[in-house]
Amino acid sequence: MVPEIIHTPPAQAATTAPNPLLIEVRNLQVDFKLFEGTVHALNNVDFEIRYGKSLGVIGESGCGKSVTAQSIMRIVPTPPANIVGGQILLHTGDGANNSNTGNAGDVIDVLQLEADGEKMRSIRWKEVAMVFQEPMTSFSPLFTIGNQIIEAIVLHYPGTSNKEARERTIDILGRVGIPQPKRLIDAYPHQLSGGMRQRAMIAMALSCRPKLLIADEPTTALDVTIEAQILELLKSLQDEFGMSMMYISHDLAVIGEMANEVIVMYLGMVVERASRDELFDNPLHPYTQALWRSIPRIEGGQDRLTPISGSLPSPFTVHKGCPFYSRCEHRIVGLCDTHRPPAVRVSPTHEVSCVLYQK
Amino acid sequence: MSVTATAEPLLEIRDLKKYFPIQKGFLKRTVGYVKAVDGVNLTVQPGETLGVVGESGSGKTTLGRTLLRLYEPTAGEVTLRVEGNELSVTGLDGAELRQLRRNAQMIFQDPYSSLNPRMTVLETVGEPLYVNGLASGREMEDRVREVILQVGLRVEHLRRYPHSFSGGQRQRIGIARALVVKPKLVVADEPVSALDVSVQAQTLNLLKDLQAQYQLTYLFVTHAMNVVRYMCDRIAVMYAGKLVELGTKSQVLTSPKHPYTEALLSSVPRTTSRTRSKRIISSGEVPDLGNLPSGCVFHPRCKYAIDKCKTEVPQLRAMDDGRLASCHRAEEIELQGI
Repeated sequence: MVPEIIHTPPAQAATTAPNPLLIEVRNLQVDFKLFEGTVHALNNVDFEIRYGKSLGVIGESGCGKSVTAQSIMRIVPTPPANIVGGQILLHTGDGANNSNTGNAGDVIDVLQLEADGEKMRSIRWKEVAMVFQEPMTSFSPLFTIGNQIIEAIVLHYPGTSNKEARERTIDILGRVGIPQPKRLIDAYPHQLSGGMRQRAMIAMALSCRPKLLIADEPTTALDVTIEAQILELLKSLQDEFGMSMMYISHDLAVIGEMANEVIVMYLGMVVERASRDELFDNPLHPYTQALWRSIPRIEGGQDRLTPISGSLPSPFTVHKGCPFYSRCEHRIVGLCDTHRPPAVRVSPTHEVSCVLYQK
Repeated sequence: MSVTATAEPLLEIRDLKKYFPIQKGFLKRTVGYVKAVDGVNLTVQPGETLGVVGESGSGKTTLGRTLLRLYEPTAGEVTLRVEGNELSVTGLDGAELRQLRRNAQMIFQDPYSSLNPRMTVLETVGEPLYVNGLASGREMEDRVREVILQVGLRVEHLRRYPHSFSGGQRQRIGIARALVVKPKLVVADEPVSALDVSVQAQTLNLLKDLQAQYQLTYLFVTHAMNVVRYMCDRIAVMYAGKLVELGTKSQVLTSPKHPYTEALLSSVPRTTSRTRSKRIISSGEVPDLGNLPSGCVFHPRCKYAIDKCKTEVPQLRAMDDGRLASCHRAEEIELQGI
């Protein structure tokens, strides 16, 4: 049977108490073993997402943001990738729903599960679902979108009749704003426009009511007016379904719209982590500051952009110290190039990995 | 820079049309046309940067390509004024067309597919000189060396092939290839949208520097409004093959007169909470260019549409402040800018 659609966020005992944890990523390390050498794609990535909250992940290509998402879903291609260490703790069960203090449900380390095993398959889509960048390649061209969504529902809720699953699918297609869902459920992916396909992708991701939705650059391939539609849709669905979101993008402005909390990644490391407003109003890490200065703003007022000096080091470089060392204007020779910068907590909601802020 | 500039325009586009036939069946019978560019009038002043903005399918890329004769125009006239001579682009052929290429060049969007993987940087950048009979041998190499340094590459890069360069470097090669013949007009088609943010800044700065150095005129085609704000003097907004608004940067961005411009600006995500306001999201999508709506092409998505909009095609007309907009209700509605 298909359960109730809404994950009630746990009753908020006091406004000051943070929502219970949904997922914790602890010291995640992922290597890619390639012919040319080893790439340390993720180095000690550490963050958590709470019930009903959105985490934004920002960084340039090659910074490891997609690998992080794929690790949570356990869909990193192995080999060449190899999860070397760390934990990804998923707080499951509806324990969170009836407890004010925390999670009464089980805590599963996703990394201990077999990637293709039954347990992992039951988590994928049902607990954690993902929307990909290119909606054309994430659907099979051989089946109608309805077929593919129905399949996911029937797989995860055995005992659901096809008729029931089809009604469920029509309902969800309607919710994501697909016009005439009764007709378009039988459409093939190529018959839909890019924006509609991305809506169908979101419908598929939500069909099993995940607690966490990972959106990996879901609007990068879309036009601006369509992007705005999809962003608004995701926000309203998040409220409606009470789910948490991990939103990955290289676009600062999109992150600013979507996230409560943001982590900034550079070469496989989290260099800064803060609430959205703190990060945008007061960026602290030299990389974040440089990134902010290099982006043309729609509000104007920039005579000249300041590009980040130097270029991205080769992915095979092993950094003993700070990964941003070679491009940083505040670097301290003899310290930054040899010691890993510590994570400094400058406020309860702001953490930065840089020696400049060490007390 | 005002819209009614007095200087002789460098480029004049009159009623330019480019229709692509829709062919069906075994005999490839033409059953209709995609009106990618449908009657565009534009002038570009020497030394300015005109931004052409719009979504995919708006015809902005086709406009850029048609005016350089990379596509054969269906109708209309394009005139380029170079050193007192008028060059009627639409009437050129063969050797004459090469004269156009010496004066007008293009920078392409994708730095991966626009470079021949089997040609070294020297060959790629030198080819326009050789083909146009401007230089060869030693002279060509000297000129290539000069331009390669100007775009921020190094001399030792000359013998390398495109695969050994990063995206940003490849785009520099593309820029060098366009500039090597010392053109007057450069059509830049989304030159930074394939690049990472930090590389974007370098490339945009480079394009600005080169413009100052060579008095270049840019037709800057892009969908990114923040890039337009940084780069352009005037902005032309296109929708479904037509120009819907044309004015100075501040006119178009701060007080748009066409509802589509407003929707486009409102869609842009803002970086600061202070400017994050209530969005005006236009529903629906860009119409099928083979089967356009009647009347104003934007009316099915427009929240200000009245009955007149469904039947009567609005003409592009001058507003009080000199800009052009094609909306029946341009004077009466109050639109929100940035």
